[in-house]
Amino acid sequence: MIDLRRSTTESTNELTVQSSIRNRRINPAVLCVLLAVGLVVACIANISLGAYDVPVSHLWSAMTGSGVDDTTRTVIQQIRLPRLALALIVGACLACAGVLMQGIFANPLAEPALVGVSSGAAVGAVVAILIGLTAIASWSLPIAAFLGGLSVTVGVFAMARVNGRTEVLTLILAGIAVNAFAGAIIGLVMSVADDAQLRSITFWTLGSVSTATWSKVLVILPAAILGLACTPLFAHRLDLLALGEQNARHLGVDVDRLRRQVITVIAVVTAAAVAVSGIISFVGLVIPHAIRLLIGPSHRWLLICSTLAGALLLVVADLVARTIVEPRELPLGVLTALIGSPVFFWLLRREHRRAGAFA
Amino acid sequence: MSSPNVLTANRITVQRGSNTVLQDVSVALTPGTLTCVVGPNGSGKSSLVGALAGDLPVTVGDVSLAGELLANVAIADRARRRAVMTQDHSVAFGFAVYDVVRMGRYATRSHATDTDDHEIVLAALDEADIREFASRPVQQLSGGERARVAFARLLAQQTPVMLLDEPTAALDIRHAIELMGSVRSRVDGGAAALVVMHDLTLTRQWADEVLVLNQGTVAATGRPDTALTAETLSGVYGVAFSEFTEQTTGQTTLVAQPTFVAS
Repeated sequence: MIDLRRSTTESTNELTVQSSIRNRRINPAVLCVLLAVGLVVACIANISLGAYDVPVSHLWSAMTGSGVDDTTRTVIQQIRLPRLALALIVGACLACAGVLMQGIFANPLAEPALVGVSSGAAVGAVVAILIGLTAIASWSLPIAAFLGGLSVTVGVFAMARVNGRTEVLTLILAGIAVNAFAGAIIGLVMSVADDAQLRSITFWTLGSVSTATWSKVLVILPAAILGLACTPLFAHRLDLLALGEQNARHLGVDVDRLRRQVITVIAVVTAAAVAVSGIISFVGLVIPHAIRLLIGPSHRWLLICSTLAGALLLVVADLVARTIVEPRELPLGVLTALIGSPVFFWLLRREHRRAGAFA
Repeated sequence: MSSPNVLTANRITVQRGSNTVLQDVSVALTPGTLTCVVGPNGSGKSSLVGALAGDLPVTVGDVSLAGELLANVAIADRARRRAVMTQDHSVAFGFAVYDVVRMGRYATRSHATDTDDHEIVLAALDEADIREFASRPVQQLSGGERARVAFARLLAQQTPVMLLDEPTAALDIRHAIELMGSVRSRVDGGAAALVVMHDLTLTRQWADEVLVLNQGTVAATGRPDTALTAETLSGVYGVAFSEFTEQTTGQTTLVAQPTFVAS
């Protein structure tokens, strides 16, 4: 048999292959450091600026509570700091949930709010308020939100997967159906709720971190930390899932187990965010996408950088939301949707072109 | 040549929903043997690969990997012992060719060093003739190029058993021959391979054993010249076949004629 194969002597430099992949993009570690620095700056700006400006030089004494007047101390310790903490946690959770969802669906259009996971969590929370579960314990609300989010994630997953691949059309349609249904349930609950309940329910339809208190931070902090801490364990396997579930299984990934684990974590972190901030959409769509463009699709760095970038985005967005039309505030969810929807539209067009059709 | 069978299907029946897609099919893969599976669309070729890969449950009969029931072999362990090239070569997100081929090393990640893996991946890229696009996203490649990426991933897995579902369907003839040559050299080195094919000429040239499937059952089996006769093929495909003998080599080739026959 004559060997038709070409001689491979032309490929002399063994390492050019790898380095050329890296050169096209930003080094992930560098991006990580940049995001961390940006986050620190944004946090300082967020504490310092607002309706009541506190000079940066006074921040440390205001936080420790010595050498400043009572108003400054109260504004910093009881209003700005818990609000900053919530923005950090919510942003990190939403962006991370976005990466996990897109990874497990192997589709860049999956996002907790778009496919209805956030609405599901909101329904859980709203129902908990109506039947008075919140009076029993402070953590009953996040638990109810978790159960709502989990059932929607499982449901949408079952609907949108055909032969181990996500159908874009089904995914989007499932999102529309779930969001409409959740909207109807929330509307139903609102029509029978009393005034006090109504006020706390309205909060879920316009996402915000303006009602931040330390107790809210403490209720969701364990769930958020636990959820976020698990994600590095999934990174390598999520990469392989890009080949489709069947191919990933052939390469040694226990896809069913991975799916159960990832869906649980998505529900935990989304519920943590939704329970304290309501529905803030598009963070989980825009952040992972932007980071992927910068450093490539590998989940190890994508998860870390997106989590940092999500926190950074919400800290900045919250600062803008409460300072741009001082003394009034824009709802945070309105702001993220203003930025997010055009990006989503662009992504949808691109996916459409790539697939030829949504079939 | 009395090597032990490494992957066997013993009189299996496979159902998809209420359809029986395979009935009473047996096949045994042995080291050093290249087995080709041919048959019309919907005859159960991919289902056979699915059953041998452990994707489809068998309702009757059993599939075993080196004497052990496949269902009892852990998923990660299967990946170290057999590799599968499916017909789905698409990749979500912008993963580069190199990264995708490297994914073939997932199951052995704790046993091999990074340098070893890198060398294995580079060798697989060369063998599939895709080294020049190593840093390009798979999404930007043509169908045939994507198939070669999937093939390189299978090579990088370095398993003693290989299952390939229509690997040459999207390839030009030169790359199809190169691919069969690569499979052949692995088989000569002691691997066992099962390759689903549509091209009967390539099948005749490269197969040691042929399995002809028709409507979920085995229509013929054996060496290429005995299993692939004009009579068998006419019966299976419903098309007339003529035999040509090449003057120089003495090899016979079967050519389908544009004439339908009752099958």
